[in-house]
Amino acid sequence: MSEIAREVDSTLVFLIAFCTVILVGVAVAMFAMVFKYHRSKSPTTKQIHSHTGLEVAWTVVPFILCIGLFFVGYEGFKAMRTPPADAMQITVTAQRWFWSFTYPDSGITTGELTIPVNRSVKLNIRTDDNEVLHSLYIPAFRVKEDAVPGLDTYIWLHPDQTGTFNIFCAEFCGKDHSKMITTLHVVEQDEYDAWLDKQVAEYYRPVEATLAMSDDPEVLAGYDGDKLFTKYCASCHGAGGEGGGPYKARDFRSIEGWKQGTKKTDVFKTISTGIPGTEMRSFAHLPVRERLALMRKITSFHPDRQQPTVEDIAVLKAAFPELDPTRAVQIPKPNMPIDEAMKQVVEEGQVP
Amino acid sequence: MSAAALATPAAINYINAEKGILSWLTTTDHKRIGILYLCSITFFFLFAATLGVLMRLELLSPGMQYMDSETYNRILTLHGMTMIFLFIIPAIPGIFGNFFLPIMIGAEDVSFPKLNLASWYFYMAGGTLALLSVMTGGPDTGWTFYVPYSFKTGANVFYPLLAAFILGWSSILTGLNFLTTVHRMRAKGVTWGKMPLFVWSLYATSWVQVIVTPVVGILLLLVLAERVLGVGIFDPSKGGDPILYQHLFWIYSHPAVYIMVLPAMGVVSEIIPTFARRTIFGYKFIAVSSIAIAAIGSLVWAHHMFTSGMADEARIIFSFLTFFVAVPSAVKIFNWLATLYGGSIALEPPMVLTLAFILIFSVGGLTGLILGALSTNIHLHDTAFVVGHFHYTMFGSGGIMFLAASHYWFPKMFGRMYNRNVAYVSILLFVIGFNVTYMPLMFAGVAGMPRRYADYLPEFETYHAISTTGSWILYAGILLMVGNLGYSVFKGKKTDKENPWGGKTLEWRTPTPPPTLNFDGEPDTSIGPYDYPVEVER
Ligand code: HEM
Repeated sequence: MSEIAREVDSTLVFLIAFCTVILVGVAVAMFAMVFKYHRSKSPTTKQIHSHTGLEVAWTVVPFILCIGLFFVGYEGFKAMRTPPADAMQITVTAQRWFWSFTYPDSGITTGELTIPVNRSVKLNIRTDDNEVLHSLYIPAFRVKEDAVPGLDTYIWLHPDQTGTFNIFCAEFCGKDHSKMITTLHVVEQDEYDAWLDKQVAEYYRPVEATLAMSDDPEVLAGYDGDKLFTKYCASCHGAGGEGGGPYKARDFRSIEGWKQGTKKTDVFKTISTGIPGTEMRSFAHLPVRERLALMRKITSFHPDRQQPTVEDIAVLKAAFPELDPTRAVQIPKPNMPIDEAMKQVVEEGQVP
Repeated sequence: MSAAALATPAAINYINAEKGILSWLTTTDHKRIGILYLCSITFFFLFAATLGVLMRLELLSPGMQYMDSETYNRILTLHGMTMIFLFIIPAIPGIFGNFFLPIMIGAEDVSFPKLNLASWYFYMAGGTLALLSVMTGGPDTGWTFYVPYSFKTGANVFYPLLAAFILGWSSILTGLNFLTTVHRMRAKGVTWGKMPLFVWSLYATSWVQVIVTPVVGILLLLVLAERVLGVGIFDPSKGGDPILYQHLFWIYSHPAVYIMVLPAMGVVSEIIPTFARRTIFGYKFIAVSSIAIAAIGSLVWAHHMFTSGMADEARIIFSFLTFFVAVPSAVKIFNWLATLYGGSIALEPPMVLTLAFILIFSVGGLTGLILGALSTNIHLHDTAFVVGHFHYTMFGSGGIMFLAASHYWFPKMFGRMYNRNVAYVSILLFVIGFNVTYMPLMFAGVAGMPRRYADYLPEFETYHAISTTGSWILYAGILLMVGNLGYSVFKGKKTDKENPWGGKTLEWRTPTPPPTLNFDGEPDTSIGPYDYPVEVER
């Protein structure tokens, strides 16, 4: 819940009450008349053609009421569209058919949204240019806004209670529109900090390439390839990897005709970069272990395939720093206030 | 045969004047064209209602039981498209407008009888294309065809877009015909101020049809161009604007809502005076409010886009305008209620349906206020609340009044009468089923259930289970009602009563069923459409 959600609720209750009163009024008037002037009781009629006073009254009064109702809705709306300047900014990316949330400073991306309680959070909504419309809807906070290709939109919240809430897609986006659901966790600030530290550490923890391409289960302990596959891949490639679907996705049960190769190294690369010109997109935002778990799951549909050579692995390692523990992984520096940054720029630019 | 029977002028009427299927398919008689529309529209209505019940069946419990989500999306699209383009837009104008508009103004036919027949063929071509598209898998975009989805989907949207385009032609031709007929063909004595309100409402509707339908025609062509040629008007990856599509779509489709509801309101303004034996209260206000609804209704389209990413200022302006459309609708409701005052009310089946309309349409209109208010709209937009709202407005106005009109004009059209007791039972089932189906959806929407979901989280199950149960009652009511009428067309009790209900409009002063040229001799226009005498107790 948030202050804004409560305000929407009271507006809603007010409007429903208002409408109910009118509805009951209309119903009572109608039934009373049908009862009173039923032909069995009222064989004669009064012919009244019109009554200007009455008609003007019931035109003008609804007119004024309607203007009033407009302002009732407008008040709540204004607050909804005015995020405080110090709100924490999280980027929400909508894709068929899942959500990803990118956190400021650390640059990590997650599939569920976690935010601290009692803080304003602005959710900047975006989607890729080749995407369709989606709509970020968090019913518990009574907010919703479309994700439009080529346009930046936003909503903001200020939760004042912890809890777990649904996030839906509310704009029709095709096959798995009704599965484009994820979860919002609102937690205490210290819980949030601990969670974030853990996520960041895990997100940037590298895996050595040779180990990554092995079948060693230890490497991916705690990662569930089946679950990830269901979440990210099954909507196009089918629960059994059979492919087809609305975008004629690759059938994983065979190794014929794969555009970018079928070796484990190739598959990892495809997951990380996508296939240009097709609906197969990049999943680079997933932590490396999730991508590896997906790679293992996908190759398991047809285990009998060419193994990567030492050179293949070396090439992959060179291309993906997350597969090379010797290369220090860059954890992005936290954003700094603009005047501080300017100062630093000036200092760095100083010619000795 | 006795000489008396031969002498009856009603012996030859529009039904038996010519024989054979071909005589129907090539007819230019507006009444026969009305019957052609009746057959085809009833077919499409039952077809789409069945699709609706299938969807509700799938939504009975969470998880996918009877179909996959792609099939669900196709059924959803087909249901919406058929209901909108093939049922609710053409229903009342196509059937009862064609049949009764000329008679009500004392004309022999419409201005352009051949174009009138052509419009039915356009309708059938569009309908056939829509059905054909099913065989190629069917579109899966929702009836709104929003871009970029509609040019990205692998499903066939070419046929349905073409179908909608052709149906637009049908709509425009009918509109043109009615406009010219009202302007040029009124019998002497039928002045603008003496035109039945049903004719007024069709007149207002026709203007909307003629003015806004071309917009959607062009839009549909642009989407086809986008798909086939990749011109990039709407495609964001080429710098196009998907929100532009929504504007153009709703510039047509919002006024189209009034194309659906205005004729229905016209029927209400006929049925209530007839069964209350009372002159309509505030004739001028009702006539003018039809025009006002048509005019203001054309300026509120973007209230479908409050969460679309459109500028906040635009949202505020469109919310403000939206509230004004409510006023003329409210005025009509008050006028109808006032018409009951001091009347002598007979609760015949058409009247009962009309009273149901008043309440159901009020719910639809009032929930529209809740959606028009900005802050609540943001929460409720694209949820089940909207599904409830638009079924209450469209089905609750156009749909119910189509059924009421069928019961009202049935004896005049066919010279037979339906079984009244069966009619009452079917109405009861219908009204109960209707509310049980759609009321829970409003609550589901308030609880946050998004619309166009093939599947849902278990927490929404109760709402859906009740709604699905309601859809069975509703469906039973519809089948019984249509069955009763369909049976009675052939087997109903014969009647040649000119005026079974005691109405005052011109169609009640011509033989039953009407002769080919509508009247035996000159129509008697000395009595106005609502000139009820103050009756003396018998
Ligand atoms: C037997 C009667 C009917 C049943 C059971 C029924 C049921 C449904 C259901 C379950 C949906 C899907 C809602 C969603 O999740 O978005 C729907 C959508 C819709 N219905 Fe009906 N309906 C019926 C009659 C009508 C009538 C008479 C009309 C029009 C006058 C109508 C117009 C629509 C439209 C326009 C949609 C939206 C389609 C879309 O989202 O593209 N329905 N209906």
